[in-house]
Amino acid sequence: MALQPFLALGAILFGIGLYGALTKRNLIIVLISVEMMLNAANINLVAFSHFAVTPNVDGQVYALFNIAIAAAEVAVGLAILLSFFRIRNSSDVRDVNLMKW
Amino acid sequence: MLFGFPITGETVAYFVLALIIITSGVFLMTLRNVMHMALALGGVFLGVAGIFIILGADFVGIVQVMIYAGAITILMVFSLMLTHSRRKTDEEPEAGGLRGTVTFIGVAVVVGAILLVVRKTSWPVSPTALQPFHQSTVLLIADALFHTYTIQFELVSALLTTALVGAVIIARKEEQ
Amino acid sequence: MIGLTWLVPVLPLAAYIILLASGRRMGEAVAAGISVTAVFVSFLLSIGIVGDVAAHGPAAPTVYPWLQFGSGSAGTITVGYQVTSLNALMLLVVSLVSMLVFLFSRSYMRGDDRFSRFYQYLNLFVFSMLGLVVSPNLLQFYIFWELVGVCSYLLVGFWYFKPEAAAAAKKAFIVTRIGDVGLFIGIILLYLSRGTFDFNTLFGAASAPSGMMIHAAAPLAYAGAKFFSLWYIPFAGWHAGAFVTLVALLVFIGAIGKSAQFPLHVWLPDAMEGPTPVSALIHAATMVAAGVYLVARMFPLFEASATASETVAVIGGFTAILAASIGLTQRDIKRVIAYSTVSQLGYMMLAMGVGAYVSGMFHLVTHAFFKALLFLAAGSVIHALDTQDLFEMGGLRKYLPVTHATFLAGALALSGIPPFAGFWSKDDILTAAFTSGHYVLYAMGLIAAFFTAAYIFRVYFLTFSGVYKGDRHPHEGGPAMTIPLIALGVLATIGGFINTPFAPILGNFLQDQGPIGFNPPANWALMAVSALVGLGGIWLAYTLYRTEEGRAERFAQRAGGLYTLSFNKFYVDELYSLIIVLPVMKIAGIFQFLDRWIIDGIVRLAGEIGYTGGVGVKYSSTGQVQTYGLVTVFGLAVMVLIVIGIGGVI
Repeated sequence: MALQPFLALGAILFGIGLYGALTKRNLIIVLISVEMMLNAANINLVAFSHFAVTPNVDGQVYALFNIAIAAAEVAVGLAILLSFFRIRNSSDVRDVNLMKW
Repeated sequence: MLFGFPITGETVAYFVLALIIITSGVFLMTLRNVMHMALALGGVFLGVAGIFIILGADFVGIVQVMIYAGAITILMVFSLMLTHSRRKTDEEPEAGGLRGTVTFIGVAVVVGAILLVVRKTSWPVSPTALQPFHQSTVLLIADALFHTYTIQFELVSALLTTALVGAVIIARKEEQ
Repeated sequence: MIGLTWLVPVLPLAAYIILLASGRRMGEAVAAGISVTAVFVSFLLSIGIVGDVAAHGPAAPTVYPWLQFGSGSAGTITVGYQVTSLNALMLLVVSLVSMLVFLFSRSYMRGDDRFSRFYQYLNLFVFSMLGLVVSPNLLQFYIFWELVGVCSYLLVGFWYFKPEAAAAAKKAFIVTRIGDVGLFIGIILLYLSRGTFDFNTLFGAASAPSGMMIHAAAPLAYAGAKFFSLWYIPFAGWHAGAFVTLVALLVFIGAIGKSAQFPLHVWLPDAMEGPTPVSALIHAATMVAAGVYLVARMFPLFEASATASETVAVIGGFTAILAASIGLTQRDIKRVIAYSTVSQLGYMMLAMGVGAYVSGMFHLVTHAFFKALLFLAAGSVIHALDTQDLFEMGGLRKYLPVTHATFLAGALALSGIPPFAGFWSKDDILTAAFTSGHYVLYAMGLIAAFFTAAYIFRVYFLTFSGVYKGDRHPHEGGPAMTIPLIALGVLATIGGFINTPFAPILGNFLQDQGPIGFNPPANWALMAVSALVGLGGIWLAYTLYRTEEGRAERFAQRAGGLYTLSFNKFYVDELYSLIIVLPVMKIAGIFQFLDRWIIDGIVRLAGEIGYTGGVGVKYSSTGQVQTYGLVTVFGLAVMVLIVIGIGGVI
């Protein structure tokens, strides 16, 4: 195997995640999409780690950090979402519009 | 030969996993039922975990399964069910029409450009690429985490603690 | 004592700073006490200085370098102090009169909301005047000159909540500014021609007219001259005499403004809107004397130009008779005395103009005494009656015996009745005018003297004799008021003896470095004429106001147009309004229109464009993160496409 197929897979997964993040109305799906984008980045990191000129585990460590931070993000994101849902009784991303003119 | 790659177990596994990931991703974008979505989400995460294992990152793969496929997927499903309402979110799950098209074109151009770059770039070929790791990566990762990246590791643990506390405070009900 | 000269102006400054720092918390008694003490010490020092000068002659100026902008003495501006006999005399007069006015103000301003502020201004005023007097060079002199102007503005407008007072303060400031500009140009020209501001260097050994000549080489030697040389060229071909005349006249314009000579006399009567002690200070010691002092200080310059001297004399004489004739008809007690000041200053200028340096300074001194006295007495009357209208007074001799006696002394001094102070000095001036051959000016001075006696005794009779027309119970204002009155009354009575023809003490004192100007010989016939004219004026006032009811009114009716002219101050104010103020206002109106509608319009239009654009664009901030993300992605896509289109990278 070579590096390119993994990068291509990462790019496609990233694209799907980006599309979802930009079009989905449900906040949770948007959050899921963001997770997918992070996963795509992780694929790239691990692939580079594997196919480096001198292979090492640094990329994997970065991927681990990424996962940890993604977990934290999900926790906080869902907390905000629940709080928002309690106030506005909605999980529609269009209702999150307080930061406008 | 499969798409220009010699047919090995690795190659086959890659294509199967890639198919699973992309299909699950597309399903995730199109399905509406919560449980189906959870299933698709699990597919994506498990597929990525498989990819990690193909790449010799067994530890990362296991972590991916535990955290993503396990914890995060369950959390998401719980949240979906908790916030389930019969309002417009369900009737109109995503932006349609012009907006969707424009988004699709934009994303397609960006992804296409990335693919183009991936294809056009002459990546350095590692002489040891085929068998980079001869043993489990757990030891290597442990060594890296606790020697090279000690500070970052501790910072991440602090971040996780903070996020945990913050999430609890944010999600807590306002006490009158 | 001469070494302590710097302390004389610094003491009032210190009092000013103390009062300024403590603000309103300071009690009236403390504020007044500090101020009076400071000026009193200044006065004692001044006595010592006068004694020193009399004994040892003037001291060399003590100067310190202040600004260094070139090489040599021309490139250094110094500050310091200098004591000559003229300075010492002025120090004495200013500090004496100020001290008495300070004391008087304690009673007069009692209970005023801004009592402490009033004393602050007074202190600053006296500091400025004393600083002006001891200045060894023209630049320092000019700085204090302007300070005096500022203080007069502050004090005349002290009751700024009265619109008239605010307007009068503004008028005083602006009108004197006109003169100041002339003075400033004169100073610059002097500096350019001589390369120095120092009085000593200016009028020292080279005070001969030829020394004042403009010549290209010498003045341009100092650094910075290249810049000035441009301005210098227009005078390059001038005859030295013409240049001296020009400078002298410019300097005199400054004196005209400050000393309220025609045609810039209009501010002084309006300045009556200030508190009465301020009027006394301005009129006797601090402000208007500065103009005469300037002419005296620059006397060699005027001596060098016959034209300038003649101008000074003519303007002085004309002002004397003009102001005196206006004073005849005014109803406001302070205004009468104000016009009297203008008139008396005219005498001083007349003296300076005909070259009678000592006579002019002598009259300045005696005038300081009796004019301060008259103002303080008027202040005492106003304090007792709370009105300034002469026709609401009368019969006050009974109620205000001290004021009455001292006012009478001041009036006699002003009228020039021997042996009161004014007689000696005024007679000196008239004799000088006559002896030097200025017969017309002499006649004008004589008529003015007649008017003077008439108007001041008109005030006297209307105020103190007859019966009181008001319904108050007037009484004296206490020792703080009566002591200065008595002190000044004594000075007004005997002050003339410092320079009688028999014993010219002042003349000898002022001319300790050799004769200055022209000393008229005693002329008994002229003295008799002066005294008779003064008595004649008093007789006129008596006949008109004491003998028969309504006689004055009938007289005024018979005078007809003349009376109206005089009562309306010869319409000078109206004339200025018409030919200066009105056009300026019109032009200002045009500019205001341009500024408000055209320039401001452009500015506001620019603002409107930005504002409207902002209001329009703000609606793009919908708060929808997905829209923001979409725009970002779209922008990225466009950039990627552009890069691909350009080629090379991908």
